[in-house]
Amino acid sequence: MSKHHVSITINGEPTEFLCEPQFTLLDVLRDELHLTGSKEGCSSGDCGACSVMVDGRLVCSCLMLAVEAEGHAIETIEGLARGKDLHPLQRKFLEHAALQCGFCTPGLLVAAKALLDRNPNPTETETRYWLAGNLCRCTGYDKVIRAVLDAAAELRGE
Amino acid sequence: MLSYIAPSTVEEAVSILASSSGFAKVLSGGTDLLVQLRSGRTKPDLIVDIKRIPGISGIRERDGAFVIGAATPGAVIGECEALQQVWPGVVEAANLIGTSVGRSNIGPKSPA
Repeated sequence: MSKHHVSITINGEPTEFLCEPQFTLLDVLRDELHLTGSKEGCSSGDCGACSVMVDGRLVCSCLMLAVEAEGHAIETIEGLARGKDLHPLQRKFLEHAALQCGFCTPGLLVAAKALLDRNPNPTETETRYWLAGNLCRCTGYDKVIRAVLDAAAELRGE
Repeated sequence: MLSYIAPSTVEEAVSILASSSGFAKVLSGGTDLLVQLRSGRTKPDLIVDIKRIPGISGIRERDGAFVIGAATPGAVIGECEALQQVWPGVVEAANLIGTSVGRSNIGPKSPA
């Protein structure tokens, strides 16, 4: 099996890896680069647990081959906090208890960050629509939505 | 044994597909192909990724019309203000396909 040499940046760090063509970006993030924050839920693009940013766009890393990532900038949940300082979204998820088992949380945080990067002042409806691709079987979503709206307000300086 | 190639012109892509001796599949957003690959429903020998072909992705205005490239992600349609002005129904429809996560991969989400 011929391996491909792939060069990308992950959370701002230039990174290289070798991979077989059938491996997904999620496979390489987790198993090769040991960035295990992104989760494998459904492997079919339905659950959002594997959400990452590719060149500023939210994508399912289970639906992208690792070789497709060549030359692109990837951002994962591991890049959200700055050292020990949690991102406001992470803090608000904790304050609002917007998680139980936590499996969907990395994907929800990456997706919520993508929303607030585009729209710093989303309505509740916009937030619910945006996060519709991130399934959570524990929280019932209300706490998640409250946490995101609260983080948005903090980021706007309110 | 699976191979992957990302040609940079349409001619190159066509020639690779025409000369492939095994089972070749075209890859753009991956919402169909990767799910089928993962589940074993398709077992290609070659994947031809067309996203590196200039102009195949993105929206251009030409002769008073919009040209939407075949590999344009749904998210890009959703963000195109010029298209929104003239064809709001098209943009609204694109925004209703799949979810915010899947639309950056591409077009209609499958199997959802």
